[in-house]
Amino acid sequence: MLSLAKLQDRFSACLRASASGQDALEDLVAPGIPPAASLAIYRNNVRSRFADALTDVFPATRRIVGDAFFRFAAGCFIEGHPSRAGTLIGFGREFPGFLRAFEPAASLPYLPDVAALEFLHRDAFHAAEAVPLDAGALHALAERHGDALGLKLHPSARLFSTGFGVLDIWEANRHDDPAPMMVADGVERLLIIRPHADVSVRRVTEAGFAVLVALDDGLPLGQAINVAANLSGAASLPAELATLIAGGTFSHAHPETRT
Amino acid sequence: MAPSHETSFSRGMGPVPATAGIGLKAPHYRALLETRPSLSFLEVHPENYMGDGGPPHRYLDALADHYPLSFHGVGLSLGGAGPLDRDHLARWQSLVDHYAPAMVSEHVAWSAHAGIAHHDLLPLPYTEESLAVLAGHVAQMQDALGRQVLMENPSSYLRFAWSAIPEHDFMVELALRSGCLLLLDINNVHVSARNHGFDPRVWLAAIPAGLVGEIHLAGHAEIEFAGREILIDDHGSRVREEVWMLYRETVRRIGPRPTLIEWDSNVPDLPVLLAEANRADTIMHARERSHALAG
Repeated sequence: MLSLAKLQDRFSACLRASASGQDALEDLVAPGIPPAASLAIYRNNVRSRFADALTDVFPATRRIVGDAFFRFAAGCFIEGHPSRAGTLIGFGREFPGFLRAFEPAASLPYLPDVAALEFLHRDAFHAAEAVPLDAGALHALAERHGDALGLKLHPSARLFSTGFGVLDIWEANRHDDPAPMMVADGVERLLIIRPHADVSVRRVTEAGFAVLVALDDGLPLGQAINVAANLSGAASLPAELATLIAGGTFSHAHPETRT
Repeated sequence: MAPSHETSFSRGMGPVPATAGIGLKAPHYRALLETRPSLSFLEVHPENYMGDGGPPHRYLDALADHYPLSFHGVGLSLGGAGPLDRDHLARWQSLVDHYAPAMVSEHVAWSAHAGIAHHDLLPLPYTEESLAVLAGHVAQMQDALGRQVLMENPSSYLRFAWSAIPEHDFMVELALRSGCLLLLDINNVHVSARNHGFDPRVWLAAIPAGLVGEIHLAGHAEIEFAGREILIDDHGSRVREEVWMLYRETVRRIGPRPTLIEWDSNVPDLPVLLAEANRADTIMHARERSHALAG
């Protein structure tokens, strides 16, 4: 008779072993089948639950590589990245980084960034709620505080910079029967955000991205705009900021208190 | 079916009526809000609502204004030899504080060990040690949530040779020691009975009526494994006739209870679930009618 802790040690090792039947448990009674086979039922349940969880978060990544390759990659990922929480929300956070080092996927250099975008999309989906500041409220605040005004990004906002045109790749693979896709090199800067019910992904300019990063770091608006002064897109920055504000990008304002 | 909810329901008020509810699935959020079918409760896995915000909470908040909720946990690993995951319990607490569910339940199982979560309901040996561990964790959960918990009997595909206590006695003893009630999953009894070759009627008859607070019904699959038929508890189809029969007999013995139709994979359109719930209601009401005649 095993102690409960010892049993759960061994059972866990069986579930996580890369092949069934390893490190088998003694003294099991299974319904007329070898005990290793009954353990395999649990092992398959566990592994397919994790693979399904990744399929749910990374559907475009799966469509790009096909189901068989995706399940193979998921199986390799699970071995080194067990779940540590009682909820599967947040599971797969390390999957894009795993793909970056995953030799069999090396011929698709954009794949990890597509996966990163998909995870950020899901992350924004589950992020905290906040009422976005509307243009009128922001205008009044700007009148009062001028360049010293600080703006906090909506809690769902995620900033992502990639060396590939992943937004088009992702869009083309969001649904079954993927559209033909063009893989374009070149830096793309994205804002992933859910100010209301739905998550949206927007391209921003180099200047716009720098302002958002600076604001997120706590710099007041005046300084944030200065950071972006010489970057691509600076000329159209006022219009871009107006669009971002109208899109609910900011949820809180604060007067600059530092001197 | 239950009387329709004419006015908006007040959260956390009163016991759930002894009629049928369904598991809440994301594909049905909109249809439920738009058509508001008469159901005595909606059941969710709190683990699916452990994000900070977003559509899952928006829909659950909206539905909680019309239906009592049942929180049915799958991730607390109450049968784990180690301590409970305090972060997970804290997330449970904040969900219970916010939604004030009418019922709270978990499983006679373990699902995590040494900091690693397997996300599956794994079998326990039925020993004094397991009973002590489980009863202690159930008491801890009840203390943390300030609520009486319902504990569900598992389905299983293996047993441990050193299991000394019959499963039904283990369930009853757990309730007596921890002060919890039991969630009788009749499909699980049927699945385990077939897999392990025991009589489901003997199992069910051993559970005192006063300990049963809720009943679960679900579909299961039959697979051929290593040359033998095994029943798999996949919640992916209609409730089987054998399980309806056991349900009918159980309701006749213990009286009606809040009854859940569980359907977690290959989720059908809402009307299919409602029809299953309607059948459970009909069985419960038939029992009431026969009592009225007898009286």
